[in-house]
Amino acid sequence: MFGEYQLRTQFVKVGDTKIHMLEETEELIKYRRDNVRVILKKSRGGFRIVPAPAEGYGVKLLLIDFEERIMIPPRETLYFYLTAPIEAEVLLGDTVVDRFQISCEKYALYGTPEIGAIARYWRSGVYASEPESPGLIRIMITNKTNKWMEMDHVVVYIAGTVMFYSYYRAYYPLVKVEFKSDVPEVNNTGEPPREGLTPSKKPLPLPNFLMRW
Amino acid sequence: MSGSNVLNTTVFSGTLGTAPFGITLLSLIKAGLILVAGFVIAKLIKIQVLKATRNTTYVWIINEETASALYNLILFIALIYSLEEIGILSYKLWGIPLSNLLTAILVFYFSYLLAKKSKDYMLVRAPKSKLPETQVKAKLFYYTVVTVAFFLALSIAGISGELGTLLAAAGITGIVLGFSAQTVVSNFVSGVFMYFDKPLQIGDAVRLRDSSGNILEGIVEDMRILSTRIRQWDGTLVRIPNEKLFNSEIINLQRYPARRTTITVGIAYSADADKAIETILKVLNEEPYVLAKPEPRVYVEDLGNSSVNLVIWAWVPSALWTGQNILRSKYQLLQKIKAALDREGIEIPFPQRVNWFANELRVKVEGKPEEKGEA
Repeated sequence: MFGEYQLRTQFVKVGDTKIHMLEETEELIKYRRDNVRVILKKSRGGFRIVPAPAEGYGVKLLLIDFEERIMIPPRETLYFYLTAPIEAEVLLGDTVVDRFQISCEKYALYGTPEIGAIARYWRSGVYASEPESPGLIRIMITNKTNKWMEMDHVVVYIAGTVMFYSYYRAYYPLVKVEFKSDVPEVNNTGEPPREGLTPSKKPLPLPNFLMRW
Repeated sequence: MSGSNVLNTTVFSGTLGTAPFGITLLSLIKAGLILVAGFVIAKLIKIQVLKATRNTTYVWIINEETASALYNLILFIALIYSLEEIGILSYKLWGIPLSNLLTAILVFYFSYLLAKKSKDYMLVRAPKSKLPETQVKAKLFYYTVVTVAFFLALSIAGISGELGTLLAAAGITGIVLGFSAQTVVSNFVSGVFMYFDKPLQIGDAVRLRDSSGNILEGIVEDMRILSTRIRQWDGTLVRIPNEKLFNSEIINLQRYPARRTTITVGIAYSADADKAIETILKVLNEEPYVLAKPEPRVYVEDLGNSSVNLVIWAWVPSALWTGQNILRSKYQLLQKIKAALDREGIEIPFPQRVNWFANELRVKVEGKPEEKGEA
């Protein structure tokens, strides 16, 4: 699914999406995905299919509702996994040839209608180990307060984030949620959630995010 | 007598009569040389700047316009020096020394250029999210600098003394003109109020309804002192005087990130309303551009003459529910609702009326001519 491919006649399946590469002549290759058609001139290098954050029509936040609420005791840390929506990019060098959805596309208003923001929406169970899903996000919650804290959703800043991948799966960077007060602070660390994963690009620093709602 | 003295002899006494300018051949040659040197330097600098425009990323400053401005500046300075050389600058025009007049023009022209370039710089440097606000600020800055430069130039030219008289005269003239230019003033004042009131900004999608009920919808392209320009969805540009805009009902379609859309669907009285609601909710939940939060809702709103009217309340991203985007959001959604209701066998009825007749109605059915023959 994700990884590097040679520029030759072949068929690649990414999620439910099919990509066809067809050698038209000795030097031309036709790229085809749904209604997208691109003619490529053959070259030595190949093309890459890498995961991309689920920005959809151009949103910056990802809102994931938990199917079960989480309670964290005071001064404790908890790691867990959530499934997450992802997109895929087809790259020639650093140039994006195509980008498409792998997961179902849905949005939600995060905050109030006056000062909120539109976020990509997803609903996920809470898993202690990696569940079966093309897109995953690993969360580390630290409760630095002296009382139990509750969480039923997380909002992560994802615009332009690096992604990590193995052949079958895409991962968002490790997300750290810290309770110093009642308002948790969410940090997209840009670090891989586990070892042995390939980054989609060079990580860039992303702003910390205060989850007010 | 030395050669230079000979050259310094007035040569225009014959042609200029009394030779009031006192121009000598030497000063004339010097003036000519200054002009030529100025022209050559101006040309060289212009060529260099034009060359630089091909490679630079600072196109907002290094461009053809800057090259021409520098060219004009050098030529103008050369002209002043050459006029000074032939001694013309000490002469007066309408009682103002020519030197003062030219300096005043120079100061005004370059203040204007500076203001214009600064405005461009502010716009180029502005982040996209702050562009509309920066556009207004840049214009205010531009007009302020130009106004200050205008009065500074008047002062340099030595007419600031007369300025008081001029302003007093302007005051009286203003009253007279005020009556004749009421619309202009009104537009200007409305423009100022609109700036502080901020009902709309450049880049906003708006719907305007004037006092006659005419509706206009589009994107705010520009807000000027006297008028506002709106690009309608069909690609045409409308200029609206600020006074008219100020008195219009303005609906800003994108002020907030999300807004609620209301769609009414009529179903037949014989159809199962619960099933229809369930079917519509399923379509809404599958539709990407209908927000999951706040949740969409469907109710029976009205028992109409011909149909049971269901109302759909769906929150949508404001940016995707205007202009061309409606094609892939609202219209697509309506199409999907229609298809889903059709699939479930839920009828969307035509208007219908039941007529009752006071007396029993006799209906005579005429057969076809051949049938008559058979009978």
